[in-house]
Order: sequence, then C-alpha cells, then structure tokens
Amino acid sequence: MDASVGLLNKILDCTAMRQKVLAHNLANVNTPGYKRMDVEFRAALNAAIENPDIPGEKPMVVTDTASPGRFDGNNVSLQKELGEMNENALLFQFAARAINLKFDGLRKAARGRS
Amino acid sequence: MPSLGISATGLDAESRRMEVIADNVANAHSTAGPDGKTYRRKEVVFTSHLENAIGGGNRTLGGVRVSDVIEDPRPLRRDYRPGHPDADSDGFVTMPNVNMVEEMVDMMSASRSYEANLAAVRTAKAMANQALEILK
Amino acid sequence: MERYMNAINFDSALDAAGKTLREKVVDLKDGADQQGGEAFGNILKGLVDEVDSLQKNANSSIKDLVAGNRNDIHNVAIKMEEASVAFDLMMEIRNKLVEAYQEVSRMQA
Repeated sequence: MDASVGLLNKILDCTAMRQKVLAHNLANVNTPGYKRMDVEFRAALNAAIENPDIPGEKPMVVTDTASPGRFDGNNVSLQKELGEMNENALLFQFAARAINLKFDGLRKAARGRS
Repeated sequence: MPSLGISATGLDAESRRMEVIADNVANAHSTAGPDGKTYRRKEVVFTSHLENAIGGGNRTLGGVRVSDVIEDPRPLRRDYRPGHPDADSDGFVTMPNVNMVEEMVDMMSASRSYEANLAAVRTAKAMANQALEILK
Repeated sequence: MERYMNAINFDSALDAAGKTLREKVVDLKDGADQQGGEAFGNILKGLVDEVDSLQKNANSSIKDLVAGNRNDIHNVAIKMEEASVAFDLMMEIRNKLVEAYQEVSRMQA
C-alpha cells in the first residue's frame, strides 16, 4: 500500500542479478587466472529508499581483485562463494514474501468489503 | 532463473574433467596405445565464457567452457624392465607420466566443484519458486 | 490508481471518493453546474484506463517471458499481480461510487 513495493522489487532485481554472478564464480572455481566478480547494490537500494519512484542508480557488477588468489591466480573460495549465495538467496526470498504480504493486504481490502 | 544455465556449464565442465581423470587413471600403465606410443597424461583447460545476455544486465556471463584437452608436457617416466615386450634395447620401458596421488586430488576437487554447482542450481530453483508464490 | 493504492488508510480513500461524488452529485441536482455527472464518468473512466494499461503491461511481459526476451520471473509475477489487484480495487471503488450516487438519488426523491 505504500512505496516500499518499489524498494522490494528493486531488492529482487539486485539479488537475482547477484545470483547469476555468484553462479558464474562457482562455475569458474577451477579456471586459471579467473578473478571473482560481485554485484554492488547498496547504492542502488539507498537511492530507491530516498526516491522510490525514480529508477535511479543501477547495481554494478565489479571485479574483486582484493581477495587472495591461489597459485594459478584464481581467487574463488568455494566455501565463501556458497556462503554468499545462501545469504543472497535469503534476501531474495524475504523480498518475495514481503511483496506477497503487501498484495495480500490489498487483495483483502479489495474483496472483503461491501 | 538465468543462473541455471550458467551452473549447467559448471556441471558440464567438471563432468568432462572427471572423464579425463578417469581416462588418465585407466591408462596409467599403458605403454602401447593405438598409435603404438606410451600414453601421455591429459588435462582439461577451463576458460570463463561470456555470451550475449537476454534481458539486459551489465555483463554477459556464460559460466565456464572446456576450451581444450591438452597433453601434459611433463617428461614420461623410464622404468627398467628388461623382460617387458615394449622395452627398448637398453631394457627401459617408457611409462605414462600419470601420478595416482595427483589424479586422486584432482578427482576430489572436481567432485567438490560439481557439488557446489549443484548447490547453485538448488538455490536458483528455490528462489524461482519463491517468486512464483507471488501469484498465489 | 496510484493515489488509491498508496493511501495509508484504504478505508478513508474509498470514503473520500464517495464523499467527493456525493458533493458533485448534490451540486448537479441543485442545478449549480453540469460537472457532477461528468466527474462521475471521468473518475470511472480514469480507473478503467489505468487498469487497462496495467493489464496490457502484464500481458506483454508474459509474452516476452515466453519468447525468451526476458528471464526475470519475479517482475512478470509482480506485474500480473498488480494488474489483478488493481482490477479488484477498481471494481470495489466502482461499487462504492454507485452506492453513493444511489444514496444521493434516494435523498432527493
């Protein structure tokens, strides 16, 4: 009923994109020289909180060169990547359920009257 | 979920890697192949894959590809076995450069990576199902 | 439609719509101006147009999904639900408006 449906929608977009990038990292865990990538979406979400109706900033795909690499230059850690993926999935599922709740409220208000 | 295709490439690649490892282990003592020569250890070359994306997105991620299967250039072993049918005039047999311990470690790594890609598939499925709940 | 869907208090939104309509219809009956009946029609037409555009939006996003032009299920699901809920809300607002109109008509009789 308020503007936060837009924010939740943005969370879904960002976490869906991040899932793709994390899956790509996992697929390349044994690729020599591969540097892991990630998605920066804090800025995009903060912008969505300030101005919910304006599309505003988009989430950015960044290359992570800071994480330590192995002997072949690959810096994907299986454990870390799986951990990030689980956390990310949780955020997606939270946003999806929250949107469902909002729609539920509207549906009840629309049908439960007169 | 677009990440399903990406994880599929990971499963594919690690499977092929397992096949090559199995080939190495099976041929660890092959001194005469179809070409008459001693078996040389094979290994896969992984490269990350980028392709055209559907529906936008900043990057066009496509997972991983087995771009090549190459022969290990490290020298073959020479064992002294004078009675061996493939022994040379000095009694030495050229043996494959397959190291069992190395192959075992590789196999464990391939197996773990395969599992990780499976976990990614399960996660993507869970997310998609949750999104479908919106339509209840 | 956004105004109604964004209202903090859905009840007061419906009441406000009904109240506005009542005032307009009373003006019409008093012969003050012709705008009452037009306002009634315009409110409904505005709602119908908005709901229509939301449904067209949802349909085209479904087509894109099936054609493989997009793969974000969550956005398609949200668009479909928005269209569906907007339709239900519109019907409810229509009922409220008609109720208010009938109430005023009875008063005049």
